[in-house]
Amino acid sequence: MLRINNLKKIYKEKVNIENTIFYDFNLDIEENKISCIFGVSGIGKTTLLNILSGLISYESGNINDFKNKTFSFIFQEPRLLNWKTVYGNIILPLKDKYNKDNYESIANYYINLVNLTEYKNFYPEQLSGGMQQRVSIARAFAYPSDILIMDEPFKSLDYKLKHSLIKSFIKIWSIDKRTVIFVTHDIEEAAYISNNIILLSENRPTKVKKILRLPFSIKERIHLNKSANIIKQIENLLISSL
Amino acid sequence: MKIFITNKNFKIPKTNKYLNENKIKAIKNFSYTILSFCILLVIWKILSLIVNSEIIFPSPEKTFIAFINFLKLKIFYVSILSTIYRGLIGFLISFILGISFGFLAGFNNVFYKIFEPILVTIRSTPVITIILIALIWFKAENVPIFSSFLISFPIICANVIEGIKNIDIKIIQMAKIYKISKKRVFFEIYIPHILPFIVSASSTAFGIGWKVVVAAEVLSQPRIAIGTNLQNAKIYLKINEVFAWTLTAIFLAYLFEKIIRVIEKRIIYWKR
Repeated sequence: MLRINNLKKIYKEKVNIENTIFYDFNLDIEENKISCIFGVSGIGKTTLLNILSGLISYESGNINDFKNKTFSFIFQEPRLLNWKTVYGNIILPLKDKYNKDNYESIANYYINLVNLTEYKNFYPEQLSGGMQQRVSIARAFAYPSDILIMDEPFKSLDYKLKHSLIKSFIKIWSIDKRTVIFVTHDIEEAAYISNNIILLSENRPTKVKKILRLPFSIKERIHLNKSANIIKQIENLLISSL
Repeated sequence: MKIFITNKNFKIPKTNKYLNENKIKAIKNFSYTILSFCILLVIWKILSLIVNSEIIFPSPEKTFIAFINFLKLKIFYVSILSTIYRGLIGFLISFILGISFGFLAGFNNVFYKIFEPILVTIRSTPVITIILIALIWFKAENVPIFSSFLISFPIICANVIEGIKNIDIKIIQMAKIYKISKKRVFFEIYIPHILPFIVSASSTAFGIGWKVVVAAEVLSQPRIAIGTNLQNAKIYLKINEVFAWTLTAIFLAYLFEKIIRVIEKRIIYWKR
């Protein structure tokens, strides 16, 4: 369990106006599971991710379980370097961690998992948006992180692409079960990618409203015969909890 | 996987047909350029006929005859080379200093705030003032170098600063999360990001630079220079030679613009 205790975060908008995002916020994240944080836009989901990964500061609270952890991120945008190839982008964070032989084989392994072997030496601008996002997924898994954070990674993609990426993601995660914190406000995405769905309140300061612990395995959800039924069940469960 | 391969963003592999289409396009563009020159020539000819005085407005033929005569003279080539030499030295100094100061100002906000007004002042100073002051300070040979340096420096500097300031904060955040070392962020993220800015600054700097070098040469009169020849031709009322030297200066600027375009394609390889 990775614990978040009594977290307090205030945004100072102007001199006298303070906006309390979190006050006495508590949450336990299960390790080696996918925790989906589900909430409306602007409730502080990205703020929470930024606090946990150490990008922004917070007023008080205990998030010691997240300190000294390494993170990888799948962002809303691919965030690739245009001047590096698919391969170059993936080895970028690996170079400081491994020697050449190691990072080469790790990179090739994950490039293959996201079906981009043919495009290994292509530059991002030569790839479609979906392919770019798959590079970003490969980069996140190739990096030896303790926690993988996903901040609405399918937001700007069309339906077909989204499904194809969700499948790629589930395929890789089933092989490499990392602690994943997945943030979304899309019911369908939450139904596909989650062991637990953490529902956040609609008003500030943000609280955990409910945690749904799902009895279905992740891999079943891309199973041809079972998936539609399972996804429907989870979606109904989620909608009734809102 | 078909869906990705047929996506419209994906570039068509370069087949022979594709190459031919490119060739046809290039030929088309080239013919437009030729047409444009022809129109210019016709206007020039008509104007010279209207003015009807070779001393005030020489005709294209007389200018070309002067130009052809230049080609036989050693002084013509030496003049071009020494003008190129001055332009390049001035550019090189502003290139090195511009990039260095650009980096300092780009990364250090205090330095930027102190430095920016100085940059604006240099940029707003009339070119002729810079040349006149240089005439007092330097030997004739060095006036064009100093002038082109002072004109190019703020252009290169400002572009480097802009490049650094306009880096995508999201990319830097990504580098931070993946704990990429500072040194590698500098060399693998900042430098490639700034290169296109430096190339476009160089193109602008050369474009203005040649004009400034020639203007400074006209006033400072170094022994061998395009500007010196230009001034001499004017004094002896050989206006067709004035035009011919001007033509030379235009070719020079054009040549360097082309060279920069070639370098750009090599440096910004990922945009091919």
